[in-house]
Amino acid sequence: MIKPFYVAGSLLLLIIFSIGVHYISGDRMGITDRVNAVASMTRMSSPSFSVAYYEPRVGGTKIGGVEKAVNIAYPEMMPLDRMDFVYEK
Amino acid sequence: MRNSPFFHFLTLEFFKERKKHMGVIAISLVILFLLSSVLFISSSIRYSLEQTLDQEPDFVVQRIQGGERVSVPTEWMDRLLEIHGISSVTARVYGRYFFKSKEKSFLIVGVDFMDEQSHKALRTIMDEVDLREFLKGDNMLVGGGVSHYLKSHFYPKGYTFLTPKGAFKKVHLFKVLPRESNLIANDMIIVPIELAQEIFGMNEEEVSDITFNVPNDDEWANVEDKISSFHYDLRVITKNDIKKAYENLYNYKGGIFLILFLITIVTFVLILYQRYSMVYSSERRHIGLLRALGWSINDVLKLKFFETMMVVIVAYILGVGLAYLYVFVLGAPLLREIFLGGANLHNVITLVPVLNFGILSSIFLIYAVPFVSAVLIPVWKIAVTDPKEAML
Amino acid sequence: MSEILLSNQVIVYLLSESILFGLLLIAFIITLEILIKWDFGSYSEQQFRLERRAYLVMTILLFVFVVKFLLLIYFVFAIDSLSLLVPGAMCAAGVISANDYGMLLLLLKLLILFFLLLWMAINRYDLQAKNYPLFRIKSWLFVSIFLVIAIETGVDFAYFGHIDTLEPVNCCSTLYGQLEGANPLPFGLNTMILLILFYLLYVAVMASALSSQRVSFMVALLLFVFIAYYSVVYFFGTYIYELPTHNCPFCMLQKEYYYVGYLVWGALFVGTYLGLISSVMEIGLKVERNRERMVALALLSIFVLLCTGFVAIYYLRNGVFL
Repeated sequence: MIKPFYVAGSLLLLIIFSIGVHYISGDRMGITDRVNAVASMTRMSSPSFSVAYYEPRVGGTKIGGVEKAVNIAYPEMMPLDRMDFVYEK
Repeated sequence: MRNSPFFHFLTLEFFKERKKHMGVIAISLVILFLLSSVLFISSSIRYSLEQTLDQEPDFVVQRIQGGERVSVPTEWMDRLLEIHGISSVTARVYGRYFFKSKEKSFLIVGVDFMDEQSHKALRTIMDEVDLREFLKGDNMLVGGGVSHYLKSHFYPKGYTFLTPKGAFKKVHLFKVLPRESNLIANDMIIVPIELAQEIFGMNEEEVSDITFNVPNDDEWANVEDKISSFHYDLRVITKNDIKKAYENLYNYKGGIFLILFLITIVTFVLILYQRYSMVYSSERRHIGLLRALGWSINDVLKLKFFETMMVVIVAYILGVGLAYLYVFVLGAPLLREIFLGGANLHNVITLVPVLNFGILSSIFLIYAVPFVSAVLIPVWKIAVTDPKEAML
Repeated sequence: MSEILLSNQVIVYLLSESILFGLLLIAFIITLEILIKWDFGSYSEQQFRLERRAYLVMTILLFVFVVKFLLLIYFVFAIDSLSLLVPGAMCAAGVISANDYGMLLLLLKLLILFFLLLWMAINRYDLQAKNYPLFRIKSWLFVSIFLVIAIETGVDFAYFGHIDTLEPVNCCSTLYGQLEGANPLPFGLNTMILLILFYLLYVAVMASALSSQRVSFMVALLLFVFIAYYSVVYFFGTYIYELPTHNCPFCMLQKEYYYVGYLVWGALFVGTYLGLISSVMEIGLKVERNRERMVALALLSIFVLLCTGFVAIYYLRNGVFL
């Protein structure tokens, strides 16, 4: 193997190494802690995406208009494996 | 391997013919960069959201009227408290406040600051906040986007909300939430719970919805069914629903992008095929010489295979490295807007670096498999060149 | 469009499988042509062209083998990450059983990998021999591999297209756990006999391999992999999870257990594959394959040591067995 190959190879290794260093040394906890604290204070973890007024901003049923609502009050069909619901006193 | 003549020849030729590879590496770089950037952003956002899920209560109970959420009477809370196995029943008051003139909206959240959990969380966000001072008057904590918006519309000190009853409510801007929390708090206004009720025109017996925890995971399905049978207009949302929604959200934007990206990949494959057919046909004499010198077809295939792998690996490391720099060091300007949206307040979030096997292997597979497949046939064509070509 | 098909991993996986299928289709067409017109004794221009084309088939298959191997790992990883989307699934076990195609797909994959490995071994021998003694065998083998892969690619799309994200699936503890006292082990074995069989068969495999008893080696190996599967799921797995009731072949592939499952299953299957290939080639083609057999024995020993190690470490740390 020739010398330029070693030079180029070590440059690539350097890139990988610096990514590794940045990845490990990054202030990950500082950011997640703050986000978590807001979530814990408000008991809401919906992302603050910049959505229009008529799109839902909060909740698990519809975020950014993606997920269809699963409505337990008006189910299409009762989940079959839940006998405890049927026999509720 | 260091002194193997084969590898010596391979590297020598690789550098001698580097111009030939530069073009391919450049195209690959652009493709890999775009792909990795998008995947990095979406996985970073997903990671942050999944982290917050631990803070989220296990269940949310809402009241539905005509498919829309309406206020819940607080007496529902007392009924929930009677069920065994349910803990920390809390009311949430929240809603959007709309600025008609600018078509923007804020999310106003009422928080009970006397609650232990909220109290502690507030301390984590801001060290020097004086809670007594905050609760004395009508004060609010606002997210980065809200603060920016208010300032640019000449409300630097506070804002006067118009309640549905027609009264004006002046609220003083107490503090701005730290920039790091922008992912969920950008358009948030946090006020004491009573103040939120007043702004939304609710009376004191009404809240937006109710949250509670069920510490025993095995009881989740039971509790869900039990509560669903209380009222017919009631909806229970579990933490798993939310988790799934995040997963879908992440898949949705990343997936649509990937499907569109397939078109790019196909084009890329065609370009590669053309290019390598061309490059290699100009190399026929060269390979013919090698064959005349006693190289077998397998040796030539091996040489070309290693050459291709070197191009693939160099482009992969450079492309992913560049994307890492762009997304996690520079914060992905422009591209993050796709994920954050632009219909409301402008959001600037800090992306948490996330690298894992799933993303890295996906990027590698979607790039390397089409690449090598496109090159295989040209490589074979050149490898079976007759030695007599060298004589021509 | 279903949420499953939007998952990044699924898109990447299906794309890779389709590309591989395209390449194999080219190789298949060439192979058919070669099989029809092949005449090694001929000196015609056509025969030389065919011999060159055979190199393309070989190159494609080498590439396909490497990628298929990586894709199997990626596939398991992908369905593991889908367990969030499929209600009720805690790990890959639930997602695999989400429809009828899942288990079939996994079995097909393992089968294909075995035959590809066999093809590689035959090909290696064939090239060394200079006059292509096994050319027809290897081409017919490829034709059958191609047909299986064609089925597999179809099942791929059928599987991922038919996962219902609303219908709950069973989690691994109901799929593999002891159901109402019923014994999940084959032939009514109990755990003690299973373990004795496990170690006995291991000794049998070693002994027959070292004394070159080819047929008994193959039989012992087949029995061993069968018993080993049950031993890992119903005995050794519980020590990996450190939970006596947790019987699942898939959970150990997760991060919580440091991905040790990839090592456990990898060592078992690759070891078995190599062992079977060496004996198939020795019995069927009368050629000596000592190296594969030795590697196979090494891998199987790693597998047995690893399994035993988990039990031993648990015992040393806690002073009791589960």
